[in-house]
Amino acid sequence: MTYLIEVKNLSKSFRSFEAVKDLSLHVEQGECLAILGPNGAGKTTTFEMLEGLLKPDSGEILLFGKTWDKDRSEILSRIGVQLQETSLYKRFTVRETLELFGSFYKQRKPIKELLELVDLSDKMDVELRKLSGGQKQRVYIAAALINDPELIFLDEPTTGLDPLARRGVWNIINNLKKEGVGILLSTHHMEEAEYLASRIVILDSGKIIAQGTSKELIEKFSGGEKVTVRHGTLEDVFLNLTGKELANV
Amino acid sequence: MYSLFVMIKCRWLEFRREPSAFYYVILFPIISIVGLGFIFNSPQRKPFSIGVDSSSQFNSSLYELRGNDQFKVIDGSQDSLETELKRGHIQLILRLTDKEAHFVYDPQNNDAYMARLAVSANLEKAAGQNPKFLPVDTQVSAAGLRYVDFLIPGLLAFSIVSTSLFGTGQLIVANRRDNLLKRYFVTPMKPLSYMVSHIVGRLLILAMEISVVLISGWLIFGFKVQGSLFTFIFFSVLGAAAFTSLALVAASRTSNSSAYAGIVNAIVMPMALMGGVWFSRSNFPEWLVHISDYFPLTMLVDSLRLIALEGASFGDAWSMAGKLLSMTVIFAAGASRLFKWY
Ligand SMILES: Nc1ncnc2c1ncn2[C@@H]1O[C@H](COP(=O)(O)OP(=O)(O)OP(=O)(O)O)[C@@H](O)[C@H]1O
Ligand SMILES: [Mg+2]
Repeated sequence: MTYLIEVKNLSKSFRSFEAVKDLSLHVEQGECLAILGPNGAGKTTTFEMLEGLLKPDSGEILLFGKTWDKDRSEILSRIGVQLQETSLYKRFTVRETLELFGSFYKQRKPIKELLELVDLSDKMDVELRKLSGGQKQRVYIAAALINDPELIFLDEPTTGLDPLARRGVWNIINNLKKEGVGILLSTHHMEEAEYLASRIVILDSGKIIAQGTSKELIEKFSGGEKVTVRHGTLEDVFLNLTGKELANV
Repeated sequence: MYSLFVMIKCRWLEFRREPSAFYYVILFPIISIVGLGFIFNSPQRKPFSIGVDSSSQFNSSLYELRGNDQFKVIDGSQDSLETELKRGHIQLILRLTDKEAHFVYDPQNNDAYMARLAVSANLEKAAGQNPKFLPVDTQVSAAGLRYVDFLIPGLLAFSIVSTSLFGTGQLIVANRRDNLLKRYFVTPMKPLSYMVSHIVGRLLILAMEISVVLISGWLIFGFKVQGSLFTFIFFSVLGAAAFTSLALVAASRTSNSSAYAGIVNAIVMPMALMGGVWFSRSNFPEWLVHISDYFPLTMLVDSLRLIALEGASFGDAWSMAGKLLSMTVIFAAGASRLFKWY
């Protein structure tokens, strides 16, 4: 079986600064892989290389077993992307926005169905500037789903959302997993990764410093801490690992 | 094809929902036409303002002058009148002696010189000397010769340029800043359709601009295009296409809105002033006229004026059409090479 994403030995420097170093990972069908990492760890840089926006210095990227160079338009029609810092045109209504994005694809999901999925049916004809942050975030996710993609990239989809709105996004992601969609997710929230992801990659200074299921990570790295407390244990792992790294620099 | 249609619709919505677009496309041209049109096109000549030195010899001719509504007469001492002259409140100081009429005025100032002629003619008439020729004046205010007629095509050209560069260009720069172009770039959207949607969407806006300028000009001042309306619109379309392509080039790389606005202002304002939007280029020194011949805006202004004022046909203006068209092609090609999506 070919992976949805297969990445081998990816590296990227900005001038002399190495943002991503020798990174390898893969994502299977119906799987959510979470990338955890502090600010500046290289998450967005990694995402943008996978999305065909940045050229890696070295390494190999295969999406659906295909390369950006050869099969650009096929890949674009099969993926959905939510970028970390985008604002869609704020004077379009939700419906107009989705119509526009839908028009780029041959195959598209009905807008009504999509809005039910992200729970925005009552906001269909509201301009984006009149939506709350969480509602807007759900429009961005809907736009990433308009072509019924097999693989989606979500770069910090819940940053800045209140706990309730975050749960809303989690529900959407869980439903997508059930439909067999592969998801690459980046986040700063441990519990989010723990709740959504089948596997977690912890990135720091451009390098993978740990990976596995949340259970494996907790067993391996939170040693010495209060292992009995289920709550926040992945957070212990995270602080343990990235804190150490910082101390070493 | 469906995508292009939706994108063009979106361009139209972007325009309609942008509050400043309303100002640029509708309000600004109307205000300019009304304001400048009335200032330079007052239906009657304003009376000449004359200061009469109170040390003047009493003369019945002065009665005549005061009774004539061609003149507005102010009395005062020489000193106070000189101040008024310096302030531009009066154009001329008159002091009469027994035999002589003394005029004080600035001969460089056409209005003052005309006041001088009018006053002396009036004095002579009042003095009862039979003029050899009875002067007969013909008032000229026929359509096509007034300042508004000159102004309206110029304003339309200016509106086309500013809506392209400020409207379309600014929108693209803001979309790049917001990473929206980057977001489009990770869809199968065809970059070429994106460019085309801007140019076609621009033509919809142009339809509004033309209507606003022509209809308000016609309603308020009875402005009419002397040549064929079709040719006039055809050249406006060419102009809009050319300047939209120019906007695509200008907005092809930056994501800094205020830098973009600064650059565009620095290009548009001198081009508009020297290109003769508001004033005829014949007032400028010759070297400047030669330089401004090459401004794209000048080409558009000149061809619109040629059609609107002199009734030029397409045949008369075809070389301009060729220039505008090649501008469009060159800029559009340049834009698609230079364009950065993020
Ligand atoms: N275009 C660029 N030019 C130079 N340096 C860059 C560029 N893009 C990113 N970097 C640097 O690369 C590093 C990784 O950035 P990246 O955006 O991938 O981090 P991130 O993990 O997404 O962080 P955050 O959690 O804040 O979103 C940072 O140190 C950043 O300064
Ligand atoms: Mg990031």
